[in-house]
Amino acid sequence: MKKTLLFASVIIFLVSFLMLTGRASSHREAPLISQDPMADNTDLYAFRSPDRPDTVTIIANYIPLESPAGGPNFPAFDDTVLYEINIDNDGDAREDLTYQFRFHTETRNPETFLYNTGPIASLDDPNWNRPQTYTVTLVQHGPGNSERSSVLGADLPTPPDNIGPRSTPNYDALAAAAVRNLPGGIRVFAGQRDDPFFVDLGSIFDLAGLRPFNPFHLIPLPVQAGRDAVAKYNTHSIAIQVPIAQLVHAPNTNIGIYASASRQQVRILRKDGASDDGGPFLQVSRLGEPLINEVVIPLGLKDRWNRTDPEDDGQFERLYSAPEVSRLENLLYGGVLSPITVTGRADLVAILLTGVPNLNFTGEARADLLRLNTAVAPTAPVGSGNRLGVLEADLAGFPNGRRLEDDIVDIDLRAFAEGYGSFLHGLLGLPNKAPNNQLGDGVNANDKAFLTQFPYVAVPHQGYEVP
Amino acid sequence: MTTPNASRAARLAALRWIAVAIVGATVAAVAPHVLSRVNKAPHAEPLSIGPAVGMPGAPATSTSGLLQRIDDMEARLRAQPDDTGAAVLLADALLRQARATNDGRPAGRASEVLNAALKEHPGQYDVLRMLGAIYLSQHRFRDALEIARRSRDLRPDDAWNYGVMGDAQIELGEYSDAFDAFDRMMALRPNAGAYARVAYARELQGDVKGALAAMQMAAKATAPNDPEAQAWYAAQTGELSLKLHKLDDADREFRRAVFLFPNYPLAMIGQGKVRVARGDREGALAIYLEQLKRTPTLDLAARIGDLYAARGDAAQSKHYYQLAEDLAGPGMVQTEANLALYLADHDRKTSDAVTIAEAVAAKRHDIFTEDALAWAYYKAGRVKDAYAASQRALRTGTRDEALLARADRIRAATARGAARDR
Repeated sequence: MKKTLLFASVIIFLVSFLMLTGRASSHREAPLISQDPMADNTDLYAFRSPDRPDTVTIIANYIPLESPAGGPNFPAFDDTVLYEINIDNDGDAREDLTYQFRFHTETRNPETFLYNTGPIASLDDPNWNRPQTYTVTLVQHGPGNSERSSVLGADLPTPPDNIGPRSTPNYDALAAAAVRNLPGGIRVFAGQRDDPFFVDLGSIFDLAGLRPFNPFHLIPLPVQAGRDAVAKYNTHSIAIQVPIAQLVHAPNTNIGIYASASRQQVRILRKDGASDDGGPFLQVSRLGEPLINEVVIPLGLKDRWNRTDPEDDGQFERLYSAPEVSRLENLLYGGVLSPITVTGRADLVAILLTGVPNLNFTGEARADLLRLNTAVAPTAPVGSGNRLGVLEADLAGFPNGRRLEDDIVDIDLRAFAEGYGSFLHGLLGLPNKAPNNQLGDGVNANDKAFLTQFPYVAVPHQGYEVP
Repeated sequence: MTTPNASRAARLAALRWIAVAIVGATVAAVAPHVLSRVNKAPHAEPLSIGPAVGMPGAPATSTSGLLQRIDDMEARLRAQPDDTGAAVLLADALLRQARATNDGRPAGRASEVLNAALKEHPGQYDVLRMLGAIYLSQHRFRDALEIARRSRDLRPDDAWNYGVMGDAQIELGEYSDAFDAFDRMMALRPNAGAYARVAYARELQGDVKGALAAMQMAAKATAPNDPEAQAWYAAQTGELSLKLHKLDDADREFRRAVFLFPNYPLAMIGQGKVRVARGDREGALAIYLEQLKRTPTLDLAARIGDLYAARGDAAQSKHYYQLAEDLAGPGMVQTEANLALYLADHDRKTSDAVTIAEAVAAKRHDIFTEDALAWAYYKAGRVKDAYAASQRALRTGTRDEALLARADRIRAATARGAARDR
């Protein structure tokens, strides 16, 4: 019986982690979304910009599973999808600001199906057959359901995908030219990037194994170093850098953020002559905190969860307070870990649904938002912060926002196992069980160095180099 | 312009997907057993198997990738006959294979595999859900509808089920219910599949321009790493462009489909149709003859026969007309209405055409069946019956030119008959 239960849990866990197949923290999630990569959020990052500390940088990634050599149809944003970054700045879990991104692809020569017909030397090179531009619109949500929209920038260029030395020579410069300044000190970039997520999927798929802890697994194996399964995959990033003053609702310094993708509903019947292709947009994917869709939300609820706005997340609270992952950690590593509490986990509800008191608490409303206290100054250049963030006293890191270098998998493994480390134990009295506070998958950093300047995410892997 | 690089990329994409699929299958293999023991709820349907499973658009595909996947999953099933995940993945690959080769036989194998899995695990959601799609491709519309309803009752939030229900209802001629199902699908999850169905519903109601707009949205919403699906949407866009007499657009979309998925049947035939529309019969004939070697179907053979007849080559046209009839035999999924229409249209065995069309019309009332029935009656000299069926064929407001032309002939004959009777 015990064994049956164990395997049931392993299966549930694996099924959750199956969603990770897309090689980033939220990939190929809901069954209905798995066929819609362009409308699939993979990760969200938010941090105060170390080189422009009066701004916050938000990076929303979309499109899982980008093989660098994935021609002849190289991935791009979808012209029919509404991409949004939503910000709640008054703690009611409803967005007060929305940055909308809409893309437009031009086909320069409809008679060829090739991505490019020669080297792409600049963003307006006629050899590039499918250049994509975009518009950024700020929607300010007022009382009631009132909204005020203003276009912040139009016809902004995106770089091509990184194909190879013949098609896209000098790629770094080409991509850098796509960073644009908008009025008000805002900076934007949208285009292909290296997928910054890192995780040892190969081992996690193998009955939830963690190579450094191999000897302690129910089915023991020798210790190994972790292997980054997301290495050498690309994604598409939307990055926006905004002065803090434009984001916060003073004196409140905390903001809650989520990114989403929405698709338009169209109706079957058309009135004569009138187009009805302009139906309402329905949210089909969202992402606030990392890994929620993977390790907290069960498969049967994923579609509903994706359609739900964070303000209605109270209905999912029990999934946080009695988390399946913690139960699984007990079962698989029970021989070595201190027993983990698997019900009434107010700590997880706080970290993931309301924010941590005195750090990034936004309010009692339960909502899956990435919460950032903008009063906390950056502690290191991009890529150099402590990978364990707040767990090791680096308050500028996860769960206070999320930096590119934050090791979400290790932090989550420890948090779910009540191994919060001595810092949080001392500060907030959170449990610091040992050796639970040592858990990790052995993959501690991204395979590519991040940039020290906006958009920070590493340049995408090149198809020619990475088959 | 399929460079070695491109096909290599496709192969690699396929390989990666196979790896993903195998993981999915492994999990799926164990899950139902374990859970059926753990969870004894009467509607024990506790867990879905994973995203790579059971999606018509699942993994990136190419011809070789599909064959590889089929081999892998067949091997897996031989090793572990109980593996429902492998069964679903195999069925998915077979369904795509059926579509990519214009040959219905793979779907037969798929339904066999899924039904065997259902016997072991009744109510296993992913199997059930997939079976609906397989029945659709086998033209077992009543069965598909019934399975999709059962599946919907288990998961009312899963847009897929409404797609299968609506598809079945469309084929059965239950249009109002079908459109409701499509609306529900769209409300739950707008995506390529939902856009494509809106396009079809619009076309049925005579709104070809609106259909094209929706199909273009569907094409845009399709994963770049799924060339088979991309090719399908491009070919559909080509068909709609052709119906709008936008020959250049149609030609381009058909060529795009073939660029994405070499020899994609719908698009190869589409290129022939464009040539016919441009008056280039010889060009069309060459394409059709080449394609016939790959995918011998009634429709293709009949088109070839027509082209030879137009050229005045009686012997060749006779040969291909006979071939068309022979190809309608068992094993090939054809709509029987197609056969009836073909026979009537070519004045072959018109009484057989009536018998066949009546048998089909006893089971389904879609406008194309009614059209075939009308034409069979007309050719058999039963003008009044033809008129009644023809009116039913016109009931959605279709602008299908061939159908409208037949309706006109029938209407004229009816008017002449009425004049004589006076």
